[in-house]
Amino acid sequence: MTVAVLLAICTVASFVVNVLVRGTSLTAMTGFLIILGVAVVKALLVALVFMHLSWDWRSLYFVLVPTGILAATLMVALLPDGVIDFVQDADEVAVSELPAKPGR
Amino acid sequence: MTDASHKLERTPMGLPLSNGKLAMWLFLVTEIMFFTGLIGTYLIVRASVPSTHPVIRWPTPQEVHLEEWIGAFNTFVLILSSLTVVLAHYAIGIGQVGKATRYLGLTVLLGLVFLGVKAYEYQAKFAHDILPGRIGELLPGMGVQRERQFHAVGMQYVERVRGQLTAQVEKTAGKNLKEVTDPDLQGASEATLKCYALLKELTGELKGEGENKTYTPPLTPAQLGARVNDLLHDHPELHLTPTIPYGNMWASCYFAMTGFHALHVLGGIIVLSLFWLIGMFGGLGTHHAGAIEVTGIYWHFVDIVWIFLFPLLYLV
Repeated sequence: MTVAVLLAICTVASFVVNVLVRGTSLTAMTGFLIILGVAVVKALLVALVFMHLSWDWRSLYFVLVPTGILAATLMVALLPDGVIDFVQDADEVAVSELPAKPGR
Repeated sequence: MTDASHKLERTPMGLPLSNGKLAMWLFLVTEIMFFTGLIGTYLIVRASVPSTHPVIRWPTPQEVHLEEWIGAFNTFVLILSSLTVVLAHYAIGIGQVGKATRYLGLTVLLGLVFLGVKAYEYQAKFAHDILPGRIGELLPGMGVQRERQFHAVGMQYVERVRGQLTAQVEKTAGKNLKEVTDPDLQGASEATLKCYALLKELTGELKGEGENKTYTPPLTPAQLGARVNDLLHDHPELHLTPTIPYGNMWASCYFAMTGFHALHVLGGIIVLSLFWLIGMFGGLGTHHAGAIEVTGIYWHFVDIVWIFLFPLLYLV
């Protein structure tokens, strides 16, 4: 029950941080990091207590640690796609903003 | 020697875990990789979109008709369902079968509530045509390169909106668009009149003769996108496809992530329902404790996935 209440409090905390970001009391990056941190805490609470990992960790680490490493590697492997994706020349003028030529 | 061999065979081997529990964890690590692929791709796609450009940016939850409080409500529902599964496991462990059955029923009910809310959200996406491959991508101020890049998609968007505007006008006038004249729309709603005016602008116009000849070019996909968005702002009841930069990418990510998660919730509901039915027919006993624990571990994993999906899609 305590864990469920903590999870509910964490959800409300995420919501409040989001409101603060919208109201520009917090920067987007700070808000993102806090909300992601809260999500990690919630996930750990569920995994350790509800999924009994705090008791079963010694029997399961050999399965979970390699998976964690592979999951992190997958994220890093995807990074180049994001970097080369976007090309934007801010000095360019939009076609729709060019004046229409009369009689064209 | 024989005695020694016999003793060796009786030596406890393996992990202090049930086979079912180990099998479930092995299954879950494949699921971890599956959702890491989905969430990781979403994060990379999103991070590649500039955050400072006035027009080109990732859609906000409001633009794609996502309500934060609905997502938060669903998070509470899943947290509560995780608690009820834990309570069901505890109850069956101490032989309180009736209580365990009730908790299992409650878990199934909460899972169905989650899916019901998700269906409501999907319905809103369908109603506003926020679907992969349909949303307009161009708005004025995006740059020539982007307008060139998305030209073909932009022209598809123009034709889609032309069809929607035509349907709106024909519905009001009660006749084919080619036969519609201005008097046919007398008494029509402001929204319909604006649709008719936009339809005319879409085609372009050549007026006058000789020296007095003037030509109004048809709207570009970017200009049409801006007009449609303005029209939807004033008349949200119109069924027009909006223009949302990166909207198609957002919709693909949204439906892929939440869709696969919803399928996992459905799978959990089916298995939990079986245990609930067994309990309702009086077949549930303490020998089911292990199976309920394993199912509960799966259900908690589905909860953890949503714990990450909720902030990524609804908040930040």
